[in-house]
Amino acid sequence: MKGQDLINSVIPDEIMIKAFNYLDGQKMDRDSCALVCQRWYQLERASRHTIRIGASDGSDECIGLLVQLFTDLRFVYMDERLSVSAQPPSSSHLGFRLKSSRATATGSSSSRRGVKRNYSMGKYRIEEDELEMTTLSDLGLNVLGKGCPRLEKLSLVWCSAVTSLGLVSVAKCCKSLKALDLQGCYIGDQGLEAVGEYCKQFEDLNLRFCEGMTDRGVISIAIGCGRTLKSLGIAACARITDNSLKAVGAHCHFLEKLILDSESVNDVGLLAVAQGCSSLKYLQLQCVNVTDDALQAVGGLCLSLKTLTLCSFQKFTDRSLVAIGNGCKALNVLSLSDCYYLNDQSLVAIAIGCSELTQLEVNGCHNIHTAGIEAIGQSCWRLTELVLKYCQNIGDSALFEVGKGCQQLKALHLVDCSSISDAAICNIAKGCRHLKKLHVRRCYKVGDEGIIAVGSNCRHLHDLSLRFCDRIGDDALISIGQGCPSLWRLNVSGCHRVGDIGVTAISKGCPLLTHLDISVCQNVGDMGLAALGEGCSHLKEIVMSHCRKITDIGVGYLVKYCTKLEACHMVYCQFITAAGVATVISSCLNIKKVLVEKWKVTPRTRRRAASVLTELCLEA
Amino acid sequence: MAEDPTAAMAKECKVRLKISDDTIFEVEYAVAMQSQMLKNALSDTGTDGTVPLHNISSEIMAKVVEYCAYHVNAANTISEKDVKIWDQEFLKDLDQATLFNLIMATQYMVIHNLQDLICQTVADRIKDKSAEEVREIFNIQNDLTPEEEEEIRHENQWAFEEEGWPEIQEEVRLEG
Repeated sequence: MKGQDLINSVIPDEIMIKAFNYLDGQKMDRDSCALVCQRWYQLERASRHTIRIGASDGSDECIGLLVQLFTDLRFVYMDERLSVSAQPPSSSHLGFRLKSSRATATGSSSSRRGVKRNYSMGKYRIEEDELEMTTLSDLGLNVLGKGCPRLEKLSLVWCSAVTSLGLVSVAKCCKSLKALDLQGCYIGDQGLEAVGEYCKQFEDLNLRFCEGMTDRGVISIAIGCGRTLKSLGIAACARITDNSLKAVGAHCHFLEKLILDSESVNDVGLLAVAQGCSSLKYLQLQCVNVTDDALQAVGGLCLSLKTLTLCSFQKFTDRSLVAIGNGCKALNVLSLSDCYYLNDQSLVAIAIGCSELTQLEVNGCHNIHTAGIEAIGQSCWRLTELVLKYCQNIGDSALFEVGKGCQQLKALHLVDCSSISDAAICNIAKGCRHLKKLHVRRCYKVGDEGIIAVGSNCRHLHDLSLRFCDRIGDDALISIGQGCPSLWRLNVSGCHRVGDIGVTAISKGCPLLTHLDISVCQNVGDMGLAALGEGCSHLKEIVMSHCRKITDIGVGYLVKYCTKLEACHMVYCQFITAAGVATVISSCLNIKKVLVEKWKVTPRTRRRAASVLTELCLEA
Repeated sequence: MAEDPTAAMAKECKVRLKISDDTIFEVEYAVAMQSQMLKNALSDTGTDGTVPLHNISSEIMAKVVEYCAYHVNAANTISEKDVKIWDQEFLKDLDQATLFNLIMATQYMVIHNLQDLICQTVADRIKDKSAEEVREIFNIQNDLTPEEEEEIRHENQWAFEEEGWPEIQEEVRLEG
């Protein structure tokens, strides 16, 4: 017996909207809600806060329609690099809803309980048959500003036709604006000046490739929004210099986050920020001209620092990191990339001084060797994530210490660490039994032995990636299948010793698997795929390119049971034919992406599934 | 909560609530204060009289009191994690009618944390479901025409997928 529709008879609109807002802004969920019934459609549209728009939808007319459909937008992201896979809206399509509601005043829309809308479409003529595919212009921004009075965040990426005028009109209409992200736009200082003048709750400014912006604009933000500014990011904006940072240091005492990627910034700029912004929690630097003098000062003055990221060939030496270790006792996250002049001493100082350290990344810092990581293992017992990339000089004993001392470790990433062997992995496995994520790539000394230990000890493993560790074979996967029932992501791409036995063991032991990459595993065949079909019904994504042995039969078994599949990559599989491709398309109703050779796609398949096919075209 | 000099004394008092079938619920002052509506009502009239709550049934009132009493007690003594577990258990097996009546009670009595909890629970029931599945769960009649549905699907596609937001894949860069 069908029950009563209580939710629509009992629950008032404002509580429905509240429930929608608890959907964590998940687009898929909101889209589903819009399709449930008339009332839910209207409430959903009236309460959706977030929208992301790609290029061809970014024309001014579309913006006009958009703000009438979604009446409470707060977070708008426009990215003109992206083209939309769906057919762009034509006026005849979208206008339909609006036209029909206008035409039938109260008649058929009496069943709708909705907000009365003000259709001020007069200004924009919509051609019935052609919608001009122009990009977003100032006019469009004007409409956006007027249509979203509660706008909180605006992100404009490569919107080349927008100028300061557009931003000025947004600033005037949207006084609650909190965050602005401009990338590759030609907006100039005038735009930022308007934000500084009108938006008194402004917290977050991010500028990237903004050639039109000079110090004048940033200084006006620093002065106008000094009391509220919490986050500032400046990357590849050559005309923004130390002068901006001096203003920030002078006015923005509550600044918490600073990201700088610039050749125009020198010590004097960073020093000014260090002196003025004692609440700084997050600092990311990629500035070739900044030296120890400034970074040492950060260590002495920014005592609340929690995250420090240093990238790319900077001149910092151990002096700076010793100062950080001495002063920044709250440091949680440290990331060092290509910092050639840092030695083990840096990590020793951090290990001793920063006992709250939870995440460490060392990427390509060739003068940091085993001793540095040993020190971390000995002192940083709170460590949950360790990333070592391109660290050929770090040896097993470093991970011995980590295995002994960092029992809370949840994630370990090793890339191109050619000195790390099975012994190290065994020690990690035995010591860090809470490990959830293990990624090992191109560490040629790691083989079955290490991974067998992981399978025996790390019961909570979710995510295992062993790319191109070509000594790993079926025995490793048997152990994982026995010991890691929560595994949902597995990548053994390039582990060519892995075959059907290993894949079968995983399918039996890891029923929660959703993402699998067995590409370049040339010994995996139809038996493996059949086993996956039987054991892993939740599979969403499979990459089996270069699996020379698999045929249409195996694929057929797989998709018969793995109906939730969303992505399938199968290029360079010589025995998969057009029939196999068609089977994937027809069996998997949720399929979103299929990567396959062009000639394997029949016209019929192309008609059915054009939007999900990514076709590989090989030149003969 | 504001430090009221009379708070300690008032804690001893019981508040009388008269509900739909004329039954009287006696609750501790602190428990009643979880409801903004009662808080306002009692600050004017004092705790001597009986507050009428005619549109709330005894079954619902019992649940409301159970929730508020637990949270008053839990405020400083029980860990956040355990409170969350209790909250989940509290709502676990309730049928829709009870759940929705409970929401309406929180609306009337203005009990924010319980209302938020129930809204989150409703959202959890909607999460990861298709429109058809949602209609099944809540017994909703589909009053959209096929054209309207197609239209809405089109609108949905218009705004870009959040999850598909491109990030440079490290794998692509390196393995090439």
